[in-house]
Amino acid sequence: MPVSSVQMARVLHDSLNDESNKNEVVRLFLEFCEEKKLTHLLPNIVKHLEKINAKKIADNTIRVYVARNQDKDVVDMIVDFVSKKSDAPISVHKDEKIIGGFVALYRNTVYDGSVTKQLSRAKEILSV
Amino acid sequence: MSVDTVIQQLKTRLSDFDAQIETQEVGTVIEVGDGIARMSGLDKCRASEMLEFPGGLIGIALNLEEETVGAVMLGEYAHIGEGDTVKRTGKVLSIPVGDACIGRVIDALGNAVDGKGDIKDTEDRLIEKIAPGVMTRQPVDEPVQTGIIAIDAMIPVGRGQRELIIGDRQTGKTAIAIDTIINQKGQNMKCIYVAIGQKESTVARTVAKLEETGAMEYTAVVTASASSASSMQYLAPYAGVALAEYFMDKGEDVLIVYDDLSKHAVAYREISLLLRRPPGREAYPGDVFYLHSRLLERSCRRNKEHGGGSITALPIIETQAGDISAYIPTNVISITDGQIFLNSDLFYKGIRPAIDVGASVSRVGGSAQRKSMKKVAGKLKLAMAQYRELEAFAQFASDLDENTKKQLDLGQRITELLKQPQYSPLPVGVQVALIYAANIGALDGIEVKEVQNWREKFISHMTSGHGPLLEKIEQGWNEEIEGELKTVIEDYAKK
Repeated sequence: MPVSSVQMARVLHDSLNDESNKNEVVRLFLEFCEEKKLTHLLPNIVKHLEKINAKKIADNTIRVYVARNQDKDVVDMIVDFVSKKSDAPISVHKDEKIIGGFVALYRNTVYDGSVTKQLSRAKEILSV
Repeated sequence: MSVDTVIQQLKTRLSDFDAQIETQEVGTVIEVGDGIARMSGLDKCRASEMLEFPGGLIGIALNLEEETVGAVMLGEYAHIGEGDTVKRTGKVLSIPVGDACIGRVIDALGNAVDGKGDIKDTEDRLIEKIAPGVMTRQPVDEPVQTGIIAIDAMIPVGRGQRELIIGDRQTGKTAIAIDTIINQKGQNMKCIYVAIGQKESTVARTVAKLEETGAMEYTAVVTASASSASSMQYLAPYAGVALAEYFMDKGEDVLIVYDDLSKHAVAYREISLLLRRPPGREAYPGDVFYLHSRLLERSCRRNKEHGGGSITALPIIETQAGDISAYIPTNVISITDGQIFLNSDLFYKGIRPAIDVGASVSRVGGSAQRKSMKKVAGKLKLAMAQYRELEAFAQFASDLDENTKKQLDLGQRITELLKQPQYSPLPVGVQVALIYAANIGALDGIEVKEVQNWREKFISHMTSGHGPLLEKIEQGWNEEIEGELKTVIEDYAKK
């Protein structure tokens, strides 16, 4: 059965989760590639590995959207609200559409504390 | 109203308002095309859940896979691209329903498409719902008068029954359904006509006809035309039955026409193939039977303890070259409580409605038939059955005995009598009088080609001069009524 570089990259990425024997995993992986005559796939495997890694980092990043520049304390409070015990990377973006407050995105969940959201909720209550 | 009052009212309304941080699960579009989107994330997404795409576009999650979710999009999706964020709504698809839907034309999502403005005073109802259970049902015992003499006499339909109308293209399937809707005027019945995959012009013509005959006063039309996305065509019948259930839950009787379920199955096949579900026979997915069974099972007659309402379904299936053994026709035949089979040969012979009485059947409607009709129709069915048998035989025989000739003559005359023009349904009383006249031999002295003429004159004679007798026939049947009717027919024959 033919093996795709994406599959190989996924397997390698999953195997590299264990910090203690990373070098050993890479050595065994290269040996396997040589044995199965798959070394020609290595450039593509590396490319997919980078993509998977970038996606993983993006998924784990706490993205915070604010209407104007905020102090670090404010951002820390938001991050603390989103994930108390996380050491995830943080990226702060400016989005004037939210008027005020914040919107945070972390691991497939949106935390919407924006003024736009509160106004739309108020609108719903008033229009009933 | 003073400014202070307005401010006070706003304050009262906003007294419960509390600023909150809303959390929502989101996913990312990884693939989009042909009305289908595949998303990553959305780990907790439920089956049939509504998803919100950018621009307020709604989709329904149909495929929940290990790493991705497959959804159909209900609208224009050209602005959706890879990497877009999709939000879960936590709600299963529902449509707004209410009394205000009557007289309106709506799409599969309950939006008005007739240009008469928004539909107000509605409540939301789930499109997909489990059919009522056994303990809430009762047997079919009240008739649905289609106004078509051949059906009401030989293939009677009861309230709560599912009667399939099946036949090739251009054999008058829709005409039967529309005639039945037209005949429900004053019969305490709400009607819903679901047009699936039809031309917009055809739907417009049907609506115009319903308006012209006054049938839109008690009818709602749900349309997902040929130009609509297959997802809308797939949803339209479920939207129609959700509206029907609203009326049934209020204890009302509803007639729903699905025109047609062949196109519905094709729309579902398209969606399933795009979602990469494994194809089965004729490339339909494995659950195509369940697609129609779960829809038609929602038609029922509720018992008194549960409101006593009913949904009568008239699904339509289009066959190819009269082949009723194809996949979808056999499925729907097995689900329904009988079928009205329309034959293209009969249609081109001028026998309209082109009902093939031999291949048509009503499994439960007999017990719902009116007493007077039941009394006279028995003889009619027998005469027609004998005629069909002898008709084929008589083509090869040159010399026939007197009895056979008599039966053939009667059969020919009854066939002429059962011909009925479109959009002219007949009341039960008139139908009974016509059949009774044939039974007692009133047609024997009339030339076959003159039967139609006689029929028209007899109908106008009965409706103009014997209204009270026709009413009595509708109420019941006894020797006195029979005697009176016999005298009227004999007097008419003498004239």
